[in-house]
Amino acid sequence: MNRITSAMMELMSMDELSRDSSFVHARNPLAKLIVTIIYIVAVLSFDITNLTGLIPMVLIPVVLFSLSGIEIRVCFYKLRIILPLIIFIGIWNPILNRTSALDLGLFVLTEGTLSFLTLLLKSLLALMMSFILVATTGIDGICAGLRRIHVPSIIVSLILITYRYISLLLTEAETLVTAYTLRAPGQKGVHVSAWGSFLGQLLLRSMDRANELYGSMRLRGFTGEFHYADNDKIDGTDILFTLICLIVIVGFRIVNISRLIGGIFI
Amino acid sequence: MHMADALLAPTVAATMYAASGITTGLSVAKLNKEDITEKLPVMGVMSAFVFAGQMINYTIPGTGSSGHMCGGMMLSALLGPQAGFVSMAVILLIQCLFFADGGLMAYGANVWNMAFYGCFIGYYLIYRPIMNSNIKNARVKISLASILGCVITLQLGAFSVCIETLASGITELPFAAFVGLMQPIHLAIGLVEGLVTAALLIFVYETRPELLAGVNEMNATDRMSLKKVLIILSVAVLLIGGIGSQFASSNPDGLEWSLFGNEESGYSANMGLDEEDYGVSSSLANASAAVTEATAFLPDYAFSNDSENPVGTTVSGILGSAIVAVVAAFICFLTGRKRKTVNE
Amino acid sequence: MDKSVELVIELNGLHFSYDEKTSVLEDINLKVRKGERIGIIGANGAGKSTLFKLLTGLLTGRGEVEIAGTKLEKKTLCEIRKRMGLVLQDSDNQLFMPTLFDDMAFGPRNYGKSKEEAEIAVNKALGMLGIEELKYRSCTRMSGGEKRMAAIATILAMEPEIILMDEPSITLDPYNRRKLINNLNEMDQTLLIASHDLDMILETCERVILIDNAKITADGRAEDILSDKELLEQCHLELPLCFQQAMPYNRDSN
Repeated sequence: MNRITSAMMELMSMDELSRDSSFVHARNPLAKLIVTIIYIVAVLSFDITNLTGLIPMVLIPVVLFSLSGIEIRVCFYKLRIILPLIIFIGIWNPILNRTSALDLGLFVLTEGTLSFLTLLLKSLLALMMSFILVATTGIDGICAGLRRIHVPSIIVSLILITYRYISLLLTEAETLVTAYTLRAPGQKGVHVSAWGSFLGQLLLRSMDRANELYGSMRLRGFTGEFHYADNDKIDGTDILFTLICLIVIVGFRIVNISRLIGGIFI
Repeated sequence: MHMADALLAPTVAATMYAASGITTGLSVAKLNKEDITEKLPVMGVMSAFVFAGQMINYTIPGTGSSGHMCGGMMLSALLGPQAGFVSMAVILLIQCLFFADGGLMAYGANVWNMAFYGCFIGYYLIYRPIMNSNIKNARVKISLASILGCVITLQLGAFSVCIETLASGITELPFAAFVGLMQPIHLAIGLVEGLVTAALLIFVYETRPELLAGVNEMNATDRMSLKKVLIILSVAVLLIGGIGSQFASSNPDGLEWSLFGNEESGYSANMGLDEEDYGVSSSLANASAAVTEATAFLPDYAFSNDSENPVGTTVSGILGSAIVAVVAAFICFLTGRKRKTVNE
Repeated sequence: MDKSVELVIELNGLHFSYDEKTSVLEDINLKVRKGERIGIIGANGAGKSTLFKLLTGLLTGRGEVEIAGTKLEKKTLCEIRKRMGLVLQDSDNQLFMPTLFDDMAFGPRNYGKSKEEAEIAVNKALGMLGIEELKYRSCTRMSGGEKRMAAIATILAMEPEIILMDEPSITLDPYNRRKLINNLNEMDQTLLIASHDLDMILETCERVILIDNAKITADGRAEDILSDKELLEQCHLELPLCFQQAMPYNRDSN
């Protein structure tokens, strides 16, 4: 499967997920956006060696995933995109910092290893939480949330139009690539001789499409302002949801739950 | 090149958000002054085009690898820098939301590293001066502008990734080594991106020249000599280098740590010092404190209470973590079963 | 011509060319009465789509365009576009909002209708086409036939007096094409349909205009023009299938 097809599949599967219904799906986009951002800020603010404090944070996305009925492993696939850079940057910590953090006799956990593990966990948690936001909200919900916090209408409209045409242009790009590879067996990508014209064709088609689109918008009286059917009311459940999530996040951030729980037993 | 959430401290992320937010605000204000009704659909479709275009692999002759096109330069050339920047920001947002390319917190940094340099620096300092220069051959002009533009803006972006990561205090990698690793990799990427972008822009120039904003508009008197262009470019490079070194010297502790600090930590590791006693003064704690101080535009780590014990690995902590892990697994297990029964 | 019937479109000496050298349309004179259904036929590149763009002011040529008694000028554009809807050949270019409802309300809202008024118009249009179930569907999740109906619905929701359609039956399967023809026959607006689907034209339009070589070469009753084998073939067209039935099927005859 080439990159274009997999990108299309990914867009479609996110879209599919956002159309389910569950307690999390039903929450107002803005409530979910606030919870997600506060959560990620909290996760990132953990000291890079505070692994035990960070671990309980995993409970929040896990609970949200189970409430939404989405399987957690779906989001792990997306890790492949961020992991290379994280590993590239983080792998030096265990190599360069060998200060002992915990000596268990046989096995010495160094500060470097600890910070590397924390880094990996941080990226996993941030990904899980963003994933649950997008997978339960969908593009229109996110844009409704953005409008609510007064992001300029031009940006919100642009996001919607771009999102709308990505799938169309991906299809066109795929057609071009298919047509190319069928006539160029054994080539891994587009040959240098066709670099300009290949992408150029797609560009010109896109430009023509943009003009048609602009025409159809003008004919329907477009003046730069979009009107949407906003019916995203914030109800009591949304406020309660946000408050509970925030209290739990802040609580987990301040109190080292791991140590607390462990302390009961020791 | 997409920066990830985990590599950023909240303060750095917020700073980058602020910088990108202000740039976006200014760009939108500029766009709103013009007739936006015409630009909006074009910007939307072009963003989608860049998105789709970046998915196409180009074989690099003589190697087994492949490259992609560079979105920022191309969008600026076709739409102008402000519209290009906003379009690029939208692409990055969709990549971040739907493909986990970058992250929600890192979004501000990514917009800065890719859209700002590519669209503004790339356009005003590289693309436009070269396109206005007195080089006769349009192909040469476009190629030079695209390649230089992509290479330089990508270098700036990579350098920013280094600074942002360093300021976040998450890596033990010495700053110099980090930069030494990042820059050459991105030099190669930038070259290929520049070539692909040049090929595309030349194609556009030859088939639909009217699409390239401002290639033919300039009359002869406005044209600059190549010498002038090169002077502007070198001044820009010096300026940016100066700012970079300024940053470095204003943050000597952080740099000192990254350059010399590791010996120290090596010693302490060799000597098997107990972290309970030396935790506070460990090089890592020093480093994070120094970096935090240097980046304290906002109250950092406001609710952190772990500073006395940065390692935080007591036995009870480990036990607690294990219990949490079991609970999390149990929740997953329960949900899995629930779904199974629903399916049946 | 009967003076008592209101003219909704009047073209006088309309010329258009993209590059000043070869004209796409030349000396087009046309009068359309209210409620007429006109099929516009002609080979590929004959200028059918260009004619529609000229009528809606997306392109400007030389000559006069008058819509419902108002001359097409820059300052009357908004007024005229309110009364006229254009269904594009590619429905994807017409559907760009998150849901069909948003897309359909786009036009009415832009022309100053309130949310409630727009919703009434939307529901009416959906009912007319019998596609109520698509109301909150995203256009990315529609089939080709549904998209076509949705695109027509976005125009109907504007309640225009004149509807222009560019190749409405293209890419439709026989079932959806039949549905479209039935819907077209139920509309009471003035209709201009550009198409190569001559059978559909024959079923939906009473008058046909044949454009060839940048000029109107024939204008008359649909049955007359569409049964004129010689004229059609001269213009790179072919008799509609229903007039060909006399011929036995023979694969080797060509």
